[in-house]
Amino acid sequence: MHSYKYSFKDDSSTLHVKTPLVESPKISTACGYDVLLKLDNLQPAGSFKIRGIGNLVQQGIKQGKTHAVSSSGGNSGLAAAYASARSSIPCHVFVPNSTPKFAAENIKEHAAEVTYYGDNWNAADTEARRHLSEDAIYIHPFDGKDIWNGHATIVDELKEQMKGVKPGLVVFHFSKFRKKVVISKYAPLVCSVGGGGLLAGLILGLQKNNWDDVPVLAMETYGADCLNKSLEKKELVTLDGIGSIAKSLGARATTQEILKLALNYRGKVYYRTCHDTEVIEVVEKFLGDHRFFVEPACAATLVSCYKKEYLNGIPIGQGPIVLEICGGSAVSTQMLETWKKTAFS
Amino acid sequence: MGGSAESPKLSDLAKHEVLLKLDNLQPAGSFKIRGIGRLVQKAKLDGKKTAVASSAGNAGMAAAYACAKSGLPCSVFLPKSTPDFAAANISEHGAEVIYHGEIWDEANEEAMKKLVDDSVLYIHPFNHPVIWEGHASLVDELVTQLKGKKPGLVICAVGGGGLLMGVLIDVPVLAMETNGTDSLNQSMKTGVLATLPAIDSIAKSLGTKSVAAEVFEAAKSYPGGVISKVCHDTEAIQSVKNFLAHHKFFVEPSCGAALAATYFADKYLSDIQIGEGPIVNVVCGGSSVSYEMISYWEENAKS
Repeated sequence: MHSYKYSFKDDSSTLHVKTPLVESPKISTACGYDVLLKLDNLQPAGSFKIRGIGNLVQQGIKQGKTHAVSSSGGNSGLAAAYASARSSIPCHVFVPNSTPKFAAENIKEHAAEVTYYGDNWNAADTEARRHLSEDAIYIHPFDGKDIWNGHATIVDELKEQMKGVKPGLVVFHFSKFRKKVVISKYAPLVCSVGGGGLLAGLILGLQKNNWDDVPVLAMETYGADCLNKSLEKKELVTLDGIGSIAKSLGARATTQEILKLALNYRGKVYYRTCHDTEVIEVVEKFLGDHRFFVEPACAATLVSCYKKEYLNGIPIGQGPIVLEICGGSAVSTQMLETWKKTAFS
Repeated sequence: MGGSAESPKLSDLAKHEVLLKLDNLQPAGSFKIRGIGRLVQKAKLDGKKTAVASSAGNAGMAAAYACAKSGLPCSVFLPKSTPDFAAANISEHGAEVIYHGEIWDEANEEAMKKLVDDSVLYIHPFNHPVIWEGHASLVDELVTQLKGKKPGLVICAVGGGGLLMGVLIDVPVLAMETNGTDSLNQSMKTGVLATLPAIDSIAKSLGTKSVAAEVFEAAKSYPGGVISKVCHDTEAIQSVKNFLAHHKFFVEPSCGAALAATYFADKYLSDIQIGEGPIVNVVCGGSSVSYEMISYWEENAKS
């Protein structure tokens, strides 16, 4: 493979870039509110992840760390590899054996070493942690203050871009849509790692910018509705009803700390759960309307405004609704065709 | 400033650093707003009160968008054959859509009738010096973004030649057309401005029967050298699909023609002297896309 030069760089000192905030006449018409899209799909490495992981890597280097270790075969791994390549440090990514070849290739493209290990994320992560030395940056996919502070830059940018107008609502997607194993009709999805980094980052960013009365809407899909269940019960929920495979993955919703942030947020974190079929439909619709190809996970955010009934019961403020388009690289036309055949409603 | 991005995948294919100039991210979905936006803003300052246009494509969308943002009422005349979604994309920006005639020429003729006095702005899709000045802002941005480093080659697609006219700096330019919209290529070959008998390609946005005469003259005498090449519809479509998979951007086959130069680098780049700097592939964008259209293009591609 041609080794990439990374000679092109904008003037920012961060590894992420300032992403555009654009109008969406089509989605605004669909829901009857002004809708703005925060295009984090345009970040390097294809998703918002570089915000937090880029910050983590830069902080690590400041502390004298010399290399990075990650355990994600997804967008986090990709962001870890990119951030490391950009910072000229080696990166070692441990991924479970189930990781698709193209995902591993995407990571390798940024000069990272990829090692397949174990049947699930926990196994790969345990192996990754075994390789940690004093001078290594361990890149957790979503946990940790450096990551959250990086994600919080989304709100800093919004504040600047909206010129004093406060959003009426911020919508994002929580947790993963990862169709690894179809166990049964009733358990089509496996929420493999959980998440919450974006939620934590948004809340911290909203608080920091004195926008902590802006409601936040977390969209999830059935079967992967970790946050919804945890917020409902006000305690950490491990997904059940998903089958033993999910349990063996240790599919934890999120961390105690993130849950606490969500439960104590002044503007309130609302949550809605949508169907796989709606998500797939919206991936295709968004492709035609805005010409961006996003992962189903990201499309769950869009469902909230393409199907306006999901906004019922949410006290939306005066300002426009901001949809955080988190992006993601695990999407292709072949995958879309497969999802259309296998998605459950 | 418009976006730019690295492309490790295309760099791998070209064996040369490739940067993408992402004009697909412009408002109204294509580079067109650069030139048309400038034309509309200038007309507004000159005291124009209304605007007419006659493009069902990206120029019409850019016209509607620019007028909406500038507070200028805009009427867009379209042939009756215009697909609903294309008309909807235009009316979405508050423009009045008027159907007239069977083909573009008839719609355009009707639009011209509205030019009753100096208060009406006529927005041609590509042929106007102010439009070219606007398109040239793409190069101004490159100069800033590349921090003075000169591109080794600029690759762009050519329809009427407005974009090409904008990117003529002092580096070689590879001008891509599809077989069936190759009006520049035929002109360059014969040395005489060629007029195509018909447009026979799925790359509709490149479908002008001849490039603007000024563009042809400029291309001939351009010191950096304009290299004109023609790809097949099938290669343009394949490039659209590859680009969707690699960069998650959905562009028209017309834009795919410019990407085909790099996706099929062995065929289109191997005999070109590329300078030291990066290849800049201009991603001109285009809104006439939908997921279902991919199979339509594939069925109707000219090989």
